[in-house]
Amino acid sequence: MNLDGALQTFFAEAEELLTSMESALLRVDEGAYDAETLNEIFRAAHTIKGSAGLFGLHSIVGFTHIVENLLDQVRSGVMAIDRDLLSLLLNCRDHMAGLVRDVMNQEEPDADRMNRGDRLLQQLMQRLGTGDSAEPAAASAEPVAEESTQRTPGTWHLSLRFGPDTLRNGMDPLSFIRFLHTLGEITQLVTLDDHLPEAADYDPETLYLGFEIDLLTEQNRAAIDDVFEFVREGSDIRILPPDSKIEEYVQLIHSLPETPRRLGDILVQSGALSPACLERALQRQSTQDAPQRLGEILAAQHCVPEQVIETALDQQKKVAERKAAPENRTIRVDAEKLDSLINLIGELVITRQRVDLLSAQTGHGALLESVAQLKGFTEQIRDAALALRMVQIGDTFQRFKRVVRDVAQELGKSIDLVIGGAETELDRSMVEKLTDPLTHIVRNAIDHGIEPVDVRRQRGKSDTGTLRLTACHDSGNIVIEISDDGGGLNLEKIRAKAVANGLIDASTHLSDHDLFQLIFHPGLSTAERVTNLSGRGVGMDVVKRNIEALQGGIDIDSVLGEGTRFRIRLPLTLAIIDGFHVSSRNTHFIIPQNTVLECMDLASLHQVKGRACINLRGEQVPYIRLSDLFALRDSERHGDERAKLVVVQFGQERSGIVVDELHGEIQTVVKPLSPIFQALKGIGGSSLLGTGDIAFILDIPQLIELAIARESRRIGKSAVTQERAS
Amino acid sequence: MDISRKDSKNSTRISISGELTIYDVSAARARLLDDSKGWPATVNLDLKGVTELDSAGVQLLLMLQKGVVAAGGQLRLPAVSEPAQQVFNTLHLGAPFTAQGLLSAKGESA
Repeated sequence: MNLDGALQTFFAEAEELLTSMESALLRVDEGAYDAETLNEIFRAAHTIKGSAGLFGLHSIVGFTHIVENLLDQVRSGVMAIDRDLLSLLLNCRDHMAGLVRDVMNQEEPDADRMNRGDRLLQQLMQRLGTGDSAEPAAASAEPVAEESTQRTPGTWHLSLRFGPDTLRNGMDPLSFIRFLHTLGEITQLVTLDDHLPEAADYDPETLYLGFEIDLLTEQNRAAIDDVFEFVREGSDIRILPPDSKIEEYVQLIHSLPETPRRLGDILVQSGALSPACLERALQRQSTQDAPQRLGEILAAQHCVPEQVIETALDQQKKVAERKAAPENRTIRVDAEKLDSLINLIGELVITRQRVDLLSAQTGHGALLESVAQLKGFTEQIRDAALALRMVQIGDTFQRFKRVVRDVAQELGKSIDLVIGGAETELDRSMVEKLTDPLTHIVRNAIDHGIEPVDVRRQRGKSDTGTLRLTACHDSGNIVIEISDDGGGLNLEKIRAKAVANGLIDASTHLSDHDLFQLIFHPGLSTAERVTNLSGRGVGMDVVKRNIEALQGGIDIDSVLGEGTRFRIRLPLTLAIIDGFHVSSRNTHFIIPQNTVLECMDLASLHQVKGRACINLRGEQVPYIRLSDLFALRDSERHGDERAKLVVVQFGQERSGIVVDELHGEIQTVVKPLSPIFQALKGIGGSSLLGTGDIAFILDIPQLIELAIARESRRIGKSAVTQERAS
Repeated sequence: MDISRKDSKNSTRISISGELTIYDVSAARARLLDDSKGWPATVNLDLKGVTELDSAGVQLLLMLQKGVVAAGGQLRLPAVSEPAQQVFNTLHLGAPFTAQGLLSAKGESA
C-alpha cells in the first residue's frame, strides 16, 4: 500500500536496467550484434518507460518512448547500429539515468539536462527520419512522429478487471488509464461499479471497479499488453484488436463477469457491435447450455493472435531466465543495518575478551573450555559479518569499459580493455572511494600512455592498444593493477620538468623509483600537449592522496617505449587494521602499521637544541610527545632515557612520535569514537585490547600536521627571540 | 482528510477536504457511510476541498451514492475541486456520477 516503497523499487530496478542496457550496448560495440543483445537493450528501455508511466513520470516516459521507437527499428532490422548511433544510444542511456536521478532527488531537471534532452531528441528524430528513407518516398511526406511507428491507428477494446488486491499492492487503476493516454486516444471509457457490494461487506481497500475502454492507437498488441505487465497476476485483462470479428466480441461479453446485456450495451455504444448483432448473440446464448459456453471461452483462448502468444512466451522466458540465474540472487540491505550489525559484533568481541580474562582467573577447566569455544565462534561471526560488506570489484571494473570506449573514441585511438580478477572482493566503502582515482589513472593511460596509431606502427606495435585492469588478493591486501602497453614514462622528461619546477635540484641523484614517484607531486605533468581529459598537472597528486586516505599505497613501474603499470595496494577493509601497539603513561595507542617507518631509542638520537626535532641521518624530523599532546599523567616517573621514538610517514611528510613503551604488532577492530571525542585531534578511533584496556588509534595525518605546525611556530618564536637578543 | 456533515430537515451536506486516497478510506468510511439516521431526499456532497483522489476514494464516493440512491434519495455535487474533477474526467464519471453504473444496475435489478 505504500507507494513510496514501490517507487524505491522502481529506482532500484531502473538502475539495474540502465546498467544492463549500458553493458549490452558495450557488447554490441565489441561485436555482439545478435538478437538477444538487441532485445536486452530494447527491453530495458521498454520496461523503464512502462514503470515510469505507472508513477506518472512523464519526463522519463516521453524521452524513453522515442528511444524505444528507435530501438524497435534496430531490433526489427530496419536500422543498423553504427558507431555514431551507438554513441547516441549510450548518451540517451545517460540522459535516462539523469532523469531517473532527478526524480529520485526530487529535483526538477535543470536547464542543462533539458538542453541535452532536446539535443538528443533531435538526433533521435533525425535517425528515425533516415531509418525511413529506405521506405518508399511517399512515406517521407508524413510527419516524423508518424513515420517512426509505421502503423495505422485502430480502435482496441480493453476489458480491465483488476485483482481485488490491486489497491492494497500500491497500484491504482487511474495510473494505468492515465498511462493509456500516452499510447493513444481513449475514445470511450466506462467505469463499472456493478461489483460494489452491500455497505456491510464493503472493504474500502479492496478494488471493486472494472473498466471497459476503447483506445485509438497505432501501438501494437505487445505495447498495450505491457502496460499491464505488473498487474497481470490476479487480474483479468482482455484486449481485443481493432479488426476483431464480431464473434470475438460476443465471446468477450460472455466470458466477463458482468451481465451480457450490460457489456453488450457498452460495445454497441462504442460501435464495435451493431444492436442487431448483440440481440442475435444474446438470443443464442439463452438457448445454449453451460458446457458449450465454456467451450466457447476455451476456443477464444486458442484463437488468440500470434502476438499474444509471442508475448506470453516472452514472459515465460523471462521468468525462466530469472530462475536460471541463482548466482544473481541477492537481498538488498540498508548499509546502516549492516554497519550496526558489525558494531554489535564488535561489542560482542570485546565482551568475549573480558569473559576470557575473567575466566582465566577462576582456573575452572570446563569454563575455560567453553570460553575457548566461544572465542572461536565469535571470531567466525566477526569474519562472516565483515565479509557481508565485501563486494566483488568486477562491477567497478565493468564501468571502465564505458570510460575506455568514450575516451578512446574521443582521441581516435583503438584500445582493448582486458579485465582480470573481477571476482576479487573488497570492502564496499572502499569501492566507492576507489572509483575516482581509478578513473583518473585509466584516463591518463589512454590519453598519455597509449600512443596514437602512427607512433605505434613505427614502434612495431599492434594498432590496438591494450589496457589491463586486474585485481588480486595478496597477504591481507588487495592489489589493483592498471597497466598499458603504451609509451611508458620518460624519466628524463620527469627529471627535467621537476628541475624546471624547482621540485628537485639539478644535481640531486634520485633512483628510478623516486623519479616515478615525482609524478604524484602536485604541479608536475610531463604531457607536452594539454587535452581536455588530462595533462593539466592536477590529478595524480589527488590520486595518491585518495589512495593514502584509504590506508593504501600506489607504485609505478614503467619501461620507456613498452608501457606503464600502476599498482595500488589497499587493505581489505577499513574495519580491521594492522596496527603497532605502543603506550605512553600507561595509556594505550595504536599506530596504523603502514605508516610506521622505524623505531628507535630517543636517547640515542641527536636532538636539535631548543626544539622538538631530531636529526635523522641529516634530515630534520619534528616529533611530538603523546604524553604532552594528550596531557597524560602517571604516578611513575618517566625519564627520557627510556623513551622510544616511532618515525611515521604519510605522503611526503614525516614525523616522530615519542612514547614510553613499544608492545609490537597487533590486529585490531576499529570502532568509531563517540561524538564527545570526535573533536579531539590526533585520534581516529578506538579499539579494545585483549586485556580489556582501551587503545586509541592515532590519526597519523593529523598528528604529522600538528607536529609540523607546532614546530614551525617554535622556529618562528625562537627566530624572534634571537632577533631581540642580538 | 477531514469530513464534516450537516443535517437539516430535507437535506444533508457532507464536506470532504484534504486527501481521499487508499490511506484515508478506512477512516473515511465510518463517517461517510453512516446511514444510521437514514438519508434525506437530497445529499449534497461538497468536494471543493479535496486535494487528492484515487480509485479507492472514488469507490467510497460511489458507495455513498449507492446508499443514498438505495434509500430513495439523490446525490448532488455542488462543488468539485480541480484534482477531483480531473479524476472524474479520467474515469468518464458524470457529475454527479449517477449517469453510469447505478442507474443501469437499478434497471437490471428491477
